[in-house]
Amino acid sequence: MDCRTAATLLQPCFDGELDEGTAATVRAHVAGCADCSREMAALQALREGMKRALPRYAAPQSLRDRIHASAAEPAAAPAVPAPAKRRSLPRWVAMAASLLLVASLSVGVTRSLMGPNVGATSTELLLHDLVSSHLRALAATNSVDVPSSDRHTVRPWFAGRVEVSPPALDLSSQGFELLGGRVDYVGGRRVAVLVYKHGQHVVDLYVLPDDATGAATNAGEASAPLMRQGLNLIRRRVGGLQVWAVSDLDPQEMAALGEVLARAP
Amino acid sequence: MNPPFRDESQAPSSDKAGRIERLILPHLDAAYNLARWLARSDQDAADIVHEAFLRAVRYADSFEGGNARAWWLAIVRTTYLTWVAKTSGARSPLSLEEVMTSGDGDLPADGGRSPEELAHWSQCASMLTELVEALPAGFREIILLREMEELSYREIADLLEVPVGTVMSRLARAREMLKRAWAARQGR
Ligand SMILES: [Zn+2]
Repeated sequence: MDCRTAATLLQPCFDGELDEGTAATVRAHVAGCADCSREMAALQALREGMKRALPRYAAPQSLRDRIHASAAEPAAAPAVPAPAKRRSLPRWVAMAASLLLVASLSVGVTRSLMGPNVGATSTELLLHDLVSSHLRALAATNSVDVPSSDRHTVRPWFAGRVEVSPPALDLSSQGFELLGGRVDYVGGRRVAVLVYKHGQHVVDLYVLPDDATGAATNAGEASAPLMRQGLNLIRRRVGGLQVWAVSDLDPQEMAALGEVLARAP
Repeated sequence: MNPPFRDESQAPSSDKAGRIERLILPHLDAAYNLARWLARSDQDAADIVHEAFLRAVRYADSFEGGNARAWWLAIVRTTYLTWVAKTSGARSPLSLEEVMTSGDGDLPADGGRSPEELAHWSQCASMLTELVEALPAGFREIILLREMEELSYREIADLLEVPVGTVMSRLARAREMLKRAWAARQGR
């Protein structure tokens, strides 16, 4: 094994991710190579250092109590004072208050839609792409490539960048403020994403061609949104395209957005 | 073939919440640790984990058995990300470079040459902690999931919803950044 090959396998070997045969080959190389054994020693030193130096934070008793109180009586959750000004109490109230309703609503929805029917697997892959794209964008400093509140600026920007350009949706009267747009990969295609803000929530609208994966099923078309990773997803047909909305809005608000989209021209 | 507990129309929430509480309780410290390392504040970490719990209850039906810890940590991470999106602007995370150039005040002038071994160690420990805290969030979470939670590449990939190849390259980059930052500190 040469150094270049060993270098790419060094970390997987160190992390115990290689099969025993390959790992033995890597270790044999490392044993006889000054560069690679230095690298291995550095990895080991970093691991030891992190294990010994980094504080491991334990959940405080107050948090355990809060969770226990919420579990025993969900409606009691918002009684916890929200000290910082940027924390939004209404959101908590709404969330806790909706617990009872949502808990019964969401039972079985996922199951019935995501059952072992034709296209279920490809739909799951599509949902996976949508969720990871949304989370990636939230984690990034800029969730939009073209920041603009003007749909007439955003729309032409997509020309040539994506297969199908997004419809000119004006949702401002429903309280959805357009932040801009970006291009993302979903189901192996470049698609337009319109980014909206609704209150404190970011809503991504993914515009897919109607023949895209998942179009064969009616997943996401029901009035109650699908839930993945604590996010809500809903799909509507808009002008011969399929539009997926992804957000952490409450399921009811998502359903309302679905209504608005369904009525869009 | 619905399991009997799915029929919860009469007493929906508290049963479900109790079930989720029992499910996540063994992993509460791991969740708090992750949130604390991501948010870098005790109060924020507690709020994030609490909100994650409420989400987990809403999202209870998506848990199909298997690795409860990974399922729960994924929800904690999602909660953190949406929380950051909501509070963005409130605080801008320091970059590694900023910490390395502005952190002098935190360290004694003769850093690294203290005769007291213990003092030296605690100084190194807080320096490494500081460097990890200064990593951009995407790199910070991946090295913590690997080195502190000891998750496998596959588990991390599932949790972050990225390919295993991305886990490998991001982890390698995180380690490289830490090693360089450490060397730069020591070379001063
Ligand atoms: Zn070598």
